[in-house]
Amino acid sequence: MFWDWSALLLALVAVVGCATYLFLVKHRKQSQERRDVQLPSTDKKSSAKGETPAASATPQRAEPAEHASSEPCVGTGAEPLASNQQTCDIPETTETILLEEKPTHHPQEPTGHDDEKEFTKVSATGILDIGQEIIPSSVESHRESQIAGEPPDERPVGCTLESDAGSLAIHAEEGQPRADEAPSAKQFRKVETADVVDEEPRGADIPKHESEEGGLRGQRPVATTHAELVPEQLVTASRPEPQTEKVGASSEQETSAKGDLPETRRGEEVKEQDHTTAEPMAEEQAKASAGAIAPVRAPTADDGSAVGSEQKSDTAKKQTLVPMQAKAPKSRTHNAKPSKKKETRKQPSRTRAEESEEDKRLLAKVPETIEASEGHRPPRPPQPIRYRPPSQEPVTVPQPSRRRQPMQEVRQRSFDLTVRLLFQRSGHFRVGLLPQRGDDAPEEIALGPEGNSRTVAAVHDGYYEDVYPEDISTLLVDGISWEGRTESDVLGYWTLSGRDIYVLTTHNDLNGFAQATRLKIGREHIVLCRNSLLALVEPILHQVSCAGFIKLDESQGAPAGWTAIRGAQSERKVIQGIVPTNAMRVKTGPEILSILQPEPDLEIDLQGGIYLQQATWLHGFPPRICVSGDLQPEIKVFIDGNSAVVEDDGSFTNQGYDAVGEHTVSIPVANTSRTYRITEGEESWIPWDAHGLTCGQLCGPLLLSSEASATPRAVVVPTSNSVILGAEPGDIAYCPRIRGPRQVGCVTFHAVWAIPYDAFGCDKKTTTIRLLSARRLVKVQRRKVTGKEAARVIAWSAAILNASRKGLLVDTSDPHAPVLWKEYKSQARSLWRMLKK
Amino acid sequence: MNANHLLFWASALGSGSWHQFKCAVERLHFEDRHQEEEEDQKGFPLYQLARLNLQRLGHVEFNGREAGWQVVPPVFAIVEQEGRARAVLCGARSEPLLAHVREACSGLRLLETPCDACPDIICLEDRESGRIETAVKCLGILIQPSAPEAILVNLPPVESLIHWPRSAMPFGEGWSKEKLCVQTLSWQRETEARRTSGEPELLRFTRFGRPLYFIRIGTSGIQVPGQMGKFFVLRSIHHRVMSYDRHSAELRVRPICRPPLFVERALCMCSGFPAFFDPEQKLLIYRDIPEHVVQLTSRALRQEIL
Repeated sequence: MFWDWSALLLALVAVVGCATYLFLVKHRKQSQERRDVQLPSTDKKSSAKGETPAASATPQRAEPAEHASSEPCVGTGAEPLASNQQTCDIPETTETILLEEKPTHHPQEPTGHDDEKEFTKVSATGILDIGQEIIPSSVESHRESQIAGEPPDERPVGCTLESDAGSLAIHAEEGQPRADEAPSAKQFRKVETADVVDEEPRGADIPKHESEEGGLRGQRPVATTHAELVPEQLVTASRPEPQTEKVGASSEQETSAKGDLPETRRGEEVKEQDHTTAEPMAEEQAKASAGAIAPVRAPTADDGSAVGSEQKSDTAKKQTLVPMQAKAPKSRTHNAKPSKKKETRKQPSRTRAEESEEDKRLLAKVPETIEASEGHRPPRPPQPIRYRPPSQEPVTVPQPSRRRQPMQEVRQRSFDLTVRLLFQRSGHFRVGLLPQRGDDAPEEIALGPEGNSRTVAAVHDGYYEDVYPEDISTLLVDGISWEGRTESDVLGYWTLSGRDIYVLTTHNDLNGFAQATRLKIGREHIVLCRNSLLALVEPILHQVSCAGFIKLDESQGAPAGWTAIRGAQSERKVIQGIVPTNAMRVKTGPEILSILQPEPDLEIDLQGGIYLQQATWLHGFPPRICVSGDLQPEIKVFIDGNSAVVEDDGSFTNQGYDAVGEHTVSIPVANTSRTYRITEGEESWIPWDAHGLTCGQLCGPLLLSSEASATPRAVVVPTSNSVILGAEPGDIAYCPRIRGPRQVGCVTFHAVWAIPYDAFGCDKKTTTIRLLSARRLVKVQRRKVTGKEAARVIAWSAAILNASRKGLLVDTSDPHAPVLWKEYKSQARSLWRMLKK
Repeated sequence: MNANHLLFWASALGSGSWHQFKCAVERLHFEDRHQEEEEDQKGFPLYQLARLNLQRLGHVEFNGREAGWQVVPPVFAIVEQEGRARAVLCGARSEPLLAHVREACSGLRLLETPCDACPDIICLEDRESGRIETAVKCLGILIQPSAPEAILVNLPPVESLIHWPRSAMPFGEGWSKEKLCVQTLSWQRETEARRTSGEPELLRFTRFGRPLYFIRIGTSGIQVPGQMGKFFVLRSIHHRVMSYDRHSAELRVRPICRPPLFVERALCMCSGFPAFFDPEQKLLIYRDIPEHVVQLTSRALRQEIL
C-alpha cells in the first residue's frame, strides 16, 4: 500500500515535473518568438553610422528597430497582443518597481504630464491595456515622422533623458510579467537573459546586412555588451533602454562588430545571473530607481571615457543621453511618465522651463554625429579670422556668430579682400581693400559690414574698386568678413584674414602694390607691418638683402599703428619696393614672420608695356621680361631660343625681342616658359558722328558738317558786322547775337566778307565792310537754282547790294579789298537782275 | 605708366567697352593724382578721372556707341588769339604719328607739355594759322579752325532743356534724394515737405552710387545731365558762379559748377590744358580764354560773366 502510494506520489511528481518542464520549455520558446521583433542590433547600426534610427531605418523595419529592445510588447503592429499575453505570464516585478516609485511623486506636484496618473493606474492594471491604447497612435505618428524625414513633432520631454531609472521601470513594466504566475526573480532573470541573448531574430523581418554589420547573425550585441560591461547587478538595465544603446552604440557596436563576445561568454554570464536571488534583484531595482544604473546607460560619453563608471555625474549622463532625446521617436512618449517621476523626485524644484533651458544647453553640446546626420545645414556667414602662415599649425576657425540669414537661399560663396597700397604723386600713399570679383559677378555690388555697406563697381575682370574703410588699421589686424549683395541677392562673403604683417607686391593687372602670400626674390615689395613688430621685421629684411629701405608712417598714409616699408628712392624710379635677393629661413619669433622668407622659385614675369589683349603688347611698348626667384648667375634665360642679356633695370632682352610677332621666353633649368606677342596698333582713324549739335556733329574738337566736303568753322567778327559772306553766291551766314565787341559765326565755306546785318540802319561813319580773307569770286555757271539755294543766292546778292547802296566804306587795311569788293558787287547785281527776271 | 600710354592703348584698339577701359587703367598702372577738388571727390575712381580728362581734351568719346568708347581721329584744334595761332593736337596718337608731327612741323614751334592725369599737351604755335594749317595738311591730319568758337556757337542755350521730354522721377526705397541749394551751391537732403514756389529745382537721386539728375518743375520732372541742370536752375535766379579776368584771360568757376562737357571742352581747347584747380581759392581756372569765347560761354550757360 505504502509503495502504491509512493508510486502514485512519484508518478504525480513526475507528471508535475514534466508539466513544469513542458511549461518552461513552452514559455522559453514563446519568449524566443516574441523576441524576434526586438532586434537591438538595428539601433546600434544606425548610431554607429552616425545616423539616428529614424533617419536610417526604412519604414518596413522601423518598427522593430525602434521598439525592439525597449518595448517588446509593442514591437509590431500585428504582434503586440500575443506578446503581451506572453509577458503577462511573468509579472510582479514591474508592479513592485512602480509601487516603490509611486510615493516619490507627489500627487500635487506639477509634472507636466496630464496623463501621469492614468499611467500609474494602467501600470497597475496590466500592460496589455497599455499596449492596446498607446501603440497605434505612437507608432503611427512615428511612422509619419519617419516618412517625412523629420523628428516627431511631439518631443518626449523627460523621457529616457531625464531619468534612466525611469526607463528601467517602464521596460520592466511593459516587458514583464505578472506576480501571480512567476514571481521569482530567478525566473525573471532567465527570461531577461533569454530575451536578450538567446532568442533568434526572424530573419524575414531583418535585412541580411543588418545582422552581418551588427556582428554575427543572431547575436545581440547590445545585450551582450551590457552584460559584459555590467555583469551582475545591472542586467535588468541592459535590456530596457534602447535609447541609451543608440547613444552608446559606438563602443557597443565596436564590441559586437569585432565579434569578441562569443556565445560561450554569454552563456557564462547567463549562468552567473541564474545564481542571483530575489533580494539582490530588488536592490538592483532600487539602485536603478535611484539612478545608480545611469552610467551603464551611457556607456560611451562624448569623450570616450570609461564606460560604466559609476562616478560619473548626472550631468554627464544627460549629456550623452540628450542627443537621443532630440531624435527620440514619438512612440516613446509614454515612457516619459515614470522618468518624469524620477526626475521630479531627484530635483523637485526643477520646472519644465528649466528643463527646456537645460535641454537647449545640452543640445548645444550635441556630438558631431547628430549634426552630421542633419544633412542640410543652413549657411552661416564666415567670421573674420586671423591669418596664420601655411607652414604652421592649421587654422582653427572659431564658431561663427549668429547673423541675420537672408530670406532667400544664400549662395555661400567666399571671396577675398586684397590689401592694396597706392602711391600718390606727393609720395603719400593710401591703403585700401580690393574686393575680388567672380566670373559671373555683377558690375556693381553693395559691400561692407551690415548696415554700412557701400557700392563698389568693377574696375577689372577680377576685382571691384578699392574700399577705404575708416577703421582699416583695426580691420587689418582682426580680419574682415563682409556681406556682398545686389538689390535682391546675397552674393557671398568677402573676407580678409587678419594678421600683423602684410607683404604687398607689384601685380601685372593691378596698379600699385597688392597683397601677396610672401616675399619673392627679385620682385618689388612693400611690407606693411604693425609698429610692435617693426623691431623683428627690420633685421629680417636686412638679412634678405633688402638694404636701404624707407619706413613710411602714419603721416605719409600708413594706417594708425602700422608702418609701410619700401625701397630706397632711386633716380630711375620715384617709387620703388624692396627687392629681396637672398633666400633665408626665419627660425625665431612669431609665426607670421615666416611670410618674410623669400620664395626662391623661378618665375617669368612680363611687366609693364602697353598690354592690349590676350598676351599681346603694342609695338614700341613691349613688356619688361623679368625673372623673379633665386636666379643664379649660371642660369640662362632665352628669348626666342637666343640667350638674353640682363639690362640695368634687371629685365632681360635680346635683339628682336620687341619686334612685331610672337616671342617665347624660356628658362630651361626651371622648365618654365612664357609666350607674348607684339603687334602694331590701329592707325586708320576716321571721324564719326559722336554728338549732334546745331549745325553738325561733334567728334572731339572736330565739327562735322552734313556736307561731306565742308568743315564747319567759326568766324569771329566785330559785333557790327554779323553777316558773313563767302566767295560763292549763296555763301552767307548770320552770327548769333551775343554781348560784347565780337560775334562768332559758324560757316561751312571760306569766309571773305563781314558786313552789317542791317546795312540801312547802321552808322556808316563807324561801320565798314570788312575783308576777312582775300579770295577771288567763284564764277557761277548758268544753271537753274530753286528753293533754299535760290533763297540763299538772293540773300547773298541782297546783302552785298544793300551794303553798297548804303555807301559803306570798305576797310582799307587790305589794299586789295576795294577792288575785290567791286568784283563782288558786280556779280551780285548781275545775279539779282537774273533772278528778278 | 601714365595717361600717354592710356591714350596709346586706346588709339591702338580704336574702340572698346567701358569695362575694357577700366581694366586698362588698372593694368597700365595709371598714376593717381594727389589733390581732390571737392569733398565729394574723395575716393573718386581713377578710371573716372582718366575718362573725364580724355573726354574733356577731345581725345576719346565715351558713350558714343553702346556704352563704350571710341577714339577720335587725330585733329589739330586751332585757336587764334591776340595775333598768334595755336593748334592743339587732340584725338588718337601713336608713336609713328608723333614722330611725323615732330618731323613735319620742324619750322613751327612745337610744345610738348606733360600734364597731371592727362596725355601730354602737344601744341603747334605760330603767328598765323595759315602756316600751321599748311603743315598739318601735309601730315594728313584733320584741322578744326577756331575750335572753341565752333563748338560753343553750335551749342544750344541751357534753357533749351525745358523742351526736353518729361520723365517720371525715381521713387521708393534705396534712393537717396537731394536737392541743390542754389544759394549755398551744395546738395541738401530733400525732405518730404516740398516747396510750393514755381521755381525749378535740381534733384539728385542716387542709388548704388549712380546719380540721376532731374529738374523738377511743378509736379513734373526732366532728366538732365547734372552740370546742365545746375546752370539751368542758376539761370533762373541769376546766380553768378563764373568770373573772368581780362588781364590774365582766366575764367574762374567753382568746382561744383564745372561747365558741361562740351563747354568745358571748348574752354580747354583755348589753352590746350584742362582746368587748373587752385586749392587756396578753391576754384577751377581756365586759362587763355579770349573774351569772345567767354561771351559764347556766357550765352550757352546763360551766365552773366562780363
